[in-house]
Amino acid sequence: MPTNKLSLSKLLFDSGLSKKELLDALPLLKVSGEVIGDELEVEVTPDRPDLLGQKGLSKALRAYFTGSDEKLKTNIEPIKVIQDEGTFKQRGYFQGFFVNSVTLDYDDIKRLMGLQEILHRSFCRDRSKASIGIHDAEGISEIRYTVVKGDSLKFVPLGDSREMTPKEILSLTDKGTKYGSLVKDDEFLILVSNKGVMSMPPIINSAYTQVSPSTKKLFVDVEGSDARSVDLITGVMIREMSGYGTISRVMLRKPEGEVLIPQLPEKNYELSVASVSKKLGLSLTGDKVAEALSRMGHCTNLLGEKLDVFTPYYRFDVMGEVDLVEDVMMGLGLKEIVPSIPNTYTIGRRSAVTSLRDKIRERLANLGYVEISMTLLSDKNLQSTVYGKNPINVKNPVSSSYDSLREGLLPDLLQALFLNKKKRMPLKLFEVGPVITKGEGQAIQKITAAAAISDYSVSVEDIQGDLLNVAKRLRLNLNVRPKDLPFAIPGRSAVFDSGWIAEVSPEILLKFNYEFPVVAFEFTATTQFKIDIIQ
Amino acid sequence: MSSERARAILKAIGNLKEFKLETLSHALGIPEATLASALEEMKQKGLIDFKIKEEETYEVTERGAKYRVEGLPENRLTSLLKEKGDMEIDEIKDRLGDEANAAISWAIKKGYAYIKKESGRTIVCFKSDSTDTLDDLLSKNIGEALQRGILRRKIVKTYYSLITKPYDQINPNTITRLTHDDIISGRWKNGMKPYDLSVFPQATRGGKKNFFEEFLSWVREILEDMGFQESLAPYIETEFWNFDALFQAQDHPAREMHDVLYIEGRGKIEDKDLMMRVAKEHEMGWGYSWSEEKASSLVLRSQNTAVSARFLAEHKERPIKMYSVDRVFRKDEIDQKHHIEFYQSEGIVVDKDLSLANLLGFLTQFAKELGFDEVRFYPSYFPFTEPSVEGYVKHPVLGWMEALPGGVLRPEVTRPLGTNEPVLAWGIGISRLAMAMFGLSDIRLLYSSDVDFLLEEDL
Repeated sequence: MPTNKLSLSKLLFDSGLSKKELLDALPLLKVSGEVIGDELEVEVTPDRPDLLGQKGLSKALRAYFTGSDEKLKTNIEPIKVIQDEGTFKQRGYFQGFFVNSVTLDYDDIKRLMGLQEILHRSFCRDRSKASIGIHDAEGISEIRYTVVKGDSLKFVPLGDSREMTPKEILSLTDKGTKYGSLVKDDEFLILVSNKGVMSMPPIINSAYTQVSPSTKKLFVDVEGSDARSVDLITGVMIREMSGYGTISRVMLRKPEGEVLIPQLPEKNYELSVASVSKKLGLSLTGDKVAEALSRMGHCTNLLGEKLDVFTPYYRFDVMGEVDLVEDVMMGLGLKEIVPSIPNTYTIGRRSAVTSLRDKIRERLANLGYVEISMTLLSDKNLQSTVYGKNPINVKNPVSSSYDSLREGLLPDLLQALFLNKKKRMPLKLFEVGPVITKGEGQAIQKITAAAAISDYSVSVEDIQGDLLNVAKRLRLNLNVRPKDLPFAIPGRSAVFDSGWIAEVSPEILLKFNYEFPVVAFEFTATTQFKIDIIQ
Repeated sequence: MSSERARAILKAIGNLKEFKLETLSHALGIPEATLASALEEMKQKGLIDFKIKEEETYEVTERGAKYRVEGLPENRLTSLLKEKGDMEIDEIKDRLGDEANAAISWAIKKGYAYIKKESGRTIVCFKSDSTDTLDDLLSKNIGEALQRGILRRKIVKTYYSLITKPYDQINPNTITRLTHDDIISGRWKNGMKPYDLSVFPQATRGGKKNFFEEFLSWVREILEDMGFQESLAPYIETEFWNFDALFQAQDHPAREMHDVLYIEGRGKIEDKDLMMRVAKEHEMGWGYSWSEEKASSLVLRSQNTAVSARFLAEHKERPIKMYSVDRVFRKDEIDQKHHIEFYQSEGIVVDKDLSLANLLGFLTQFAKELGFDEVRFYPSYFPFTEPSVEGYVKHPVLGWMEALPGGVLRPEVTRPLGTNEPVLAWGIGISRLAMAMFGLSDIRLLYSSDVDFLLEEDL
């Protein structure tokens, strides 16, 4: 989940809370916070990116404690902003706004850059879906979002002192090499003002619009390939920037006409008080619901039993009633809700498969075996060493020890014997658990049981009786017939309808670095699922 | 014990005044533990008498032997860095494999390398050559060698003050082990050698069910007592059931290759009508073009909510209380706290008129049955529930811990499944709770096959 570092002292000042109040309040807003020196490291849930920023979080806290949020006031800036048709091909969704009368210190700037970076990494999917530019807008009277060829102009990228062409920036700067793959063909997106190039989205800003403590006016742009992400990020940025100055929207001239951006749509829902009460398990009045929603930043009108709810522009997670119900829950506080168990009559029941497993486990433990319980993920070399065929592989394994799904339990038992080699003999181990084998166009999930005895000297007769005992318990007719198996000593193994019994060949044992005789059996207790796999 | 073995042991001891257990074990090819109990048994039978002294020494482990061949990992790292220049951690892992972590941490600790962060990448840089050798460690720095698992402590048992009886001098008429034949033949009347029953061999090792399986079984029992029925579903699952049916957008970060384990090939989405309904929810809710191909990819189930979704699609009777206590798989680093395979305790309740208060009720009751009397709830977020909560329980040692995530399934999840009633749902990381309750600090111990550990009475 996304995390960001905020200034603790500014957060306390802006929200008017004490440190303890603040730390107690954060989890009520789904934020987890950890104080590190004068910084607060916050982690927010993916539905609330607006709480990631210094100002966004303090506004939410203030609303929660004062009972209502401040309403966003915006002006319209008479500066020309133009979007050219050439941009539609790749990052065609463009939003932008000015922030007037800003006062920023170095710490504020650091926080803004931090927020931009974390949004880029998380919600913008490494700038692929959207990217943000924050510029000093002093002296700007016209802005154009357009497309240029890679060697048609030069500008000084942020963090450098040399003039470079867009193409050079891709190869000569860190950001250029990192995000260069987002540029298609020889078409470079450029944001250019009457004073020169402002930025080359989504790669880098130009040096001349760099924000500093003397900056009085900002221009913020968000553009990308995904409209939803662009709108979401714009909402978050407006919410945040409105804490630093006055937001001014602009008329964007596009080839098809003029449009006011950003649109900042307030969503409107009609909420039934009775329905909210029922969903939370409380009996609430309309006023109480309205009060809770207001603390969470919504505006409401109570009309009899119905609430008219206006959800603020930055809340993209709200899709319907249930999202508002959660906000009512948060606005009230979960302490208000008394846990209660309903009178729902049902019968508890264990599945037949688990009961069967339990039955076999019980019996093998009674016969003196110690149960191991290993992972389904296994080492394909160990599996194929024993069974002589390839198991189903994991496409993106973490390590070779867990790169496939086990086909049987014997490899795990042999490995367990090896790990206990220095212990007192005899060793008697068993497992009853899932395996997955390859079928014709299918993966077959089964529950298998296996047991092994190892001692200084041991004979297959020593385990035959135990197999018979288990078979009797399960009412299995074994129908055993001798058959050589790849992992068994020739002439010392047999199969039955659902499994095998054998003395393991020393060749296999030595591959497990194990030098004591082992006798074992393994059988399929039940086939659980057949999963179709189309290659 | 067979008389052949006793004879072999006595023969091997011969006229020795003392011997080390280890030496005799090698000579006879009998494991030390087996030999020690054989000697005790012979002592009881009067075939031998001895005293035992124990000394602690050290022995080189398999890892030590490996280092002898390959060199110390930090040395391998420094020469690698010297040769190739600074490297990213992942690159080092590719080259040094399992030893990469040890190599990096020891090289840094000893000042042969240092770490720098550069635009989000962690880079290991060369500082100086390592002058350590394995022999230095073994001779001068035993503490470090033990810590790193190069040496291990070993108890050497020496048997001394030996008095042995030649096997053939034992009175053939004095019976040691009484047999059926002795009783029939009357030979028992010749007298039987007394046993010293104050001397005990090691305790008998019996069979035992696995502690973690038993814990899971106990959790199942609790849920069954609360009226829940168990449901099972395949571990290899389509993304459709694992994610799409749970309203997780197809570009949701949790669906990426670095979070989920994938299986080669594609699966089948059986119910096409259901699939279209799910697709519609995605396209309306998230505003993108939904892909059947993506949804058909196969994953190892990463959340047991997939089991609930399948159950809801198949069961129309009401009310429903379903649970699943089963394995899930995630792509992750394996360490003390994380594993790629662990267990989730999933539950759903479906009935008309259920409320959030009821969800809190079930979670509180479940916690109570597990032995946690204090529970606190905070709001939370999960892609498929709204409202969502996280329950914290108070552990006597560890304090408040995150334990009970749950919520009410979103209408975007239930609508396509044809469920009109509220569905309370939770998915509890039961492996972590097991660790807390058994006082284990390493999740890998849940899959231990060490018999001494598994037979501990506390487990």
